[in-house]
Amino acid sequence: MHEQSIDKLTAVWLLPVVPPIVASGVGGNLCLVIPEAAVSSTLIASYVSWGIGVPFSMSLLVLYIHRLTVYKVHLFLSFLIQLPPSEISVSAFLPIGPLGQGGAAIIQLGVVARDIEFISPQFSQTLHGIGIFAGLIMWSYALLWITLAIATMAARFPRIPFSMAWWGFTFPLGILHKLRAVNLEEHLHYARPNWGKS
Amino acid sequence: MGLATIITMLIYVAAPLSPGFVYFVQVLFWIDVVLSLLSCFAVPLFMYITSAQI
Repeated sequence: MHEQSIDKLTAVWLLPVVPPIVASGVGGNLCLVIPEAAVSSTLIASYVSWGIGVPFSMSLLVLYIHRLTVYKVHLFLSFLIQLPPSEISVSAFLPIGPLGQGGAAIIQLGVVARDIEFISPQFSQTLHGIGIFAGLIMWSYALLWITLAIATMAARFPRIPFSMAWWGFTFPLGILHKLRAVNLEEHLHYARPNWGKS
Repeated sequence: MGLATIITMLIYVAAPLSPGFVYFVQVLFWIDVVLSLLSCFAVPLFMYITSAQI
């Protein structure tokens, strides 16, 4: 039987925990097209899924950073000591997945709650505000993890054999971009630099 | 997560076509919620049980 130990922990441990967060994001989108009578139950189910998945993934991230820092893994100094194996080094990008998807989902759920005036107008406005704030915080936290992931890749580069773990380049980075470019940009209304335009 | 991708596509492409698709997508969503919670609970529980020194 496969023996679990903290020194063998990788970000792959996050994979069973991410689906509820993804489901909550889907629920937020689904609320846009379903009959009004079904929106509340879908919204609550989505918040529950988010509430199970995001705190659990945060707990696993604590274990993962513990493994990276305590078990003789110094990304910037001793590159080749107990880093994730080359084949799954791309999994270092996986912590970005729950953070990006969780941020995008909580913003979308807040928008739906505001639009249907969930429970009361004041409460739904609060949910909307909390969603944007939480999304911004989770995006910020993802920046830390993307830095660690890039450092891991740099330590292994170019000895990174192709494997199924390369899908880690797609979902986490894609959802992080969506969180910034769609969800946050739409709600924060920040002024982007107008480089290259007169 | 694969089912979630399919549901998202159906929400934007198929649901506007017919109310039947809306109900179909709702059913898929609830299946997705159950399956995702099952994976979230079952896998860590299995790891917990198999590694427990009793």
